[in-house]
Amino acid sequence: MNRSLLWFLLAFLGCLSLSAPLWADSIERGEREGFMEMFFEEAPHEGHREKEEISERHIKPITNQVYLSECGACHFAYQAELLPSQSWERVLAHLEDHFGDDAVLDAANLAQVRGYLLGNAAETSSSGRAQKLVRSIQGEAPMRITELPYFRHEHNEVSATVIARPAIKSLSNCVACHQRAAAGVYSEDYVRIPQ
Amino acid sequence: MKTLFTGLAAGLIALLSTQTVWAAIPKNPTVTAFMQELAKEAKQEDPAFTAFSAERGKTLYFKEHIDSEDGDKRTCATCHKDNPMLPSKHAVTGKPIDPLSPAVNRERFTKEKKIKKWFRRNCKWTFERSCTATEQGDFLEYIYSL
Repeated sequence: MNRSLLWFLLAFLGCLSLSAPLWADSIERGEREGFMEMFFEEAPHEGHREKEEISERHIKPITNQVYLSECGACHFAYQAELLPSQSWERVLAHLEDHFGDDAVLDAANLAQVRGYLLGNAAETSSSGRAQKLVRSIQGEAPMRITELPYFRHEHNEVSATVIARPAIKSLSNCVACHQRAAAGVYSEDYVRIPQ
Repeated sequence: MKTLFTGLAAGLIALLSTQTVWAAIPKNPTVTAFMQELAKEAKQEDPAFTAFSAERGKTLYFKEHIDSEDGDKRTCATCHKDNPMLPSKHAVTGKPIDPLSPAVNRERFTKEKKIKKWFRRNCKWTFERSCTATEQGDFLEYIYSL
């Protein structure tokens, strides 16, 4: 009797571990599905709309290697969708003094970076978040993502003392708290504020 | 038991001594060629120049400069740590920086374009000026001496 129970448990655990890559994959895509939803696809639940926004219309991860290595060497590689093209044009026009740093690119790399940024700027995005960022702009588009009204509104509960923590340092350090920022997922579900 | 400890101690000493022998890392062809160019320039800058010096490089590495805009103290170590063999973080953005030392990071100083780019950028950020050929050569000599 005991032995058959043991076999059953083993088989069950085996099935679970075999299916793990399946749900790991769905988490990768940013769809945090509940365990039961794997069996009941249309299960109604409150966060459904939010889930859809994340999975199908989230901010696209960056694939442009030049942008990733040239811009991502010094700071988190912000997705183009986080600023409108008007802002990116201003950023690109001032690379010799890029927020106090020299970020001048040679012509070939500049063309690549410009192509990525302007081709994927916020106003071209189907992401709800990017659209909200654009809609919130009043007057001239700022050069900093952290100055966009929608961004400020979303972070208004983060105090200056929290931001000053060594693991955070600045509101521009997305990945400090947004664990899936590099994948373009800025949902609150994936926020973990370091102490 | 005692022999085991003696054996272990001997092994450890042997390991440490080989590491000291390895300490001066051989330069790759890219950095060798780049430093030869720098040496030519250095001679133009100062006819009395003979060779690059790890000693001068070390002084440069830890040389402090007060930034005219932010008023903060900056050195090479601000972003690359006192020990360039350790991984570090960008002083402003907090972005991780791989170790500068080629002893632990083989990617370092393997592309001339990249070497030039980072000397240009980082000398400007740290010292608010460009570095001379002598300074660049001394810096490399120091990093390769570790």
